[in-house]
Amino acid sequence: MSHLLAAEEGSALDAVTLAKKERTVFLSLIVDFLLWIPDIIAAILAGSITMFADVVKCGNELLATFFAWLTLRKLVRGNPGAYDYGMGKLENLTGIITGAVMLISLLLVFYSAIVRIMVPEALQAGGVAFGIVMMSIGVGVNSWLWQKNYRLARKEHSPIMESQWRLFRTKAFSDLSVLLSLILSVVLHQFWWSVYIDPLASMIIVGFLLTTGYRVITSSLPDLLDKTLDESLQITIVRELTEFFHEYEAFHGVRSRRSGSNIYIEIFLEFDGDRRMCEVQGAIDRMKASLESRIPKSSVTIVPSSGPCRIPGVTGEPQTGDEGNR
Amino acid sequence: MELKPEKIGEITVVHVTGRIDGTSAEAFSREIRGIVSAGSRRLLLDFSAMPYINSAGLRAILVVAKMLKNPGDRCVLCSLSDEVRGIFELAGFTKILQIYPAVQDAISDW
Repeated sequence: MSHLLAAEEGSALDAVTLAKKERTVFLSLIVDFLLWIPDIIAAILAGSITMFADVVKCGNELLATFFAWLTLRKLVRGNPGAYDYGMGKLENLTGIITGAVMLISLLLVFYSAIVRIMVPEALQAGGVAFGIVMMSIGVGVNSWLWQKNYRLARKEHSPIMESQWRLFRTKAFSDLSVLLSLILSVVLHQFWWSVYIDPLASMIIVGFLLTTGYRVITSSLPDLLDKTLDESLQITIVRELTEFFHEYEAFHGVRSRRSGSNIYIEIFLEFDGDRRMCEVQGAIDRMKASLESRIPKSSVTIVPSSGPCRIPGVTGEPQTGDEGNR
Repeated sequence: MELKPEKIGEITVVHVTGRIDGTSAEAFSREIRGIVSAGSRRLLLDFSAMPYINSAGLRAILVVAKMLKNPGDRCVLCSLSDEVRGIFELAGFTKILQIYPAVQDAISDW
């Protein structure tokens, strides 16, 4: 009963944060789209491979941002009764899609750059000038969105906001790379090797995409696969078990996982059969409240049990009390 | 990870060699249960050759501590390195289990 009440209180608080997240991501989406159209025009006019690559990358990022916004919109306006465990999995999934899109963009940019190195071409001056203006705006706006999303992500652990601020950081730096490459191509146009500046600069974008895509996927995938909590939180759980050592008779295991920004912990304990139900419930409530206060956004379930919990498809005896690490 | 039990009077000293982590905690727990089931209910865990323990290992020791809760039962630890002792303190084990500097200290104080 108390578990449900706590969840309802949490939901009311989460609604405000979610609405704020949705607005931030929607703003990002609009700004991205508005900046994308002139980017396409500038890339066509300049004939720059770096700008073409940037356009492809931006298109993919736009799609990723759209996915993120759809997820948040579903969270804010969706039927709360339809997903009792929240939509953390969807949030993790969106993070993975964002990372995957970055890796696909990487391949496109890399391929385009190799082709241009093999068949070099000079850039068109008019398009380059337009590109310099657009990239200057891009650097400014993306830097601002990067900082805005970063501040929100620091407030709470969320795969969406985490992937968003990294995305805008990548965009700010990649726009800066394109900007510098265009400026250098114009300034150094009298040298024969200046035609290689453009495709070589696009390799910088490849580097940004590789590191960011890898990080986003590796931070979202383990949570999607229900990886147990990291060691520092596991120690916190053990500490609670030692704090309440005399409240239970035997310890049969712990299961934990993350889902989006939420943490779920199940602890299997055996209680003295001679104790009254209300006493056992009191002990459970105290343990639950104490651990939830130590681990933010956690939902703790104490399961009274007479033996180790079994997981279908997993063999062996969970004598260590760690169901997920085996 | 390897366990080597040694009987000293009524006390069973279990010399633990190697790490107790996610991969070895289950084996540690299983072997300790075997020792306890064989009638050794006064355990002294000698961790002088155990360089590292993580949360899985701590949970295994918690299971042992709960197994030896009846009158006359006892489970104590000894010879922890500074780093391992720090982990035990962080996890609150110093409040539920006695820890001695060496095997002899634990036996003489039994």
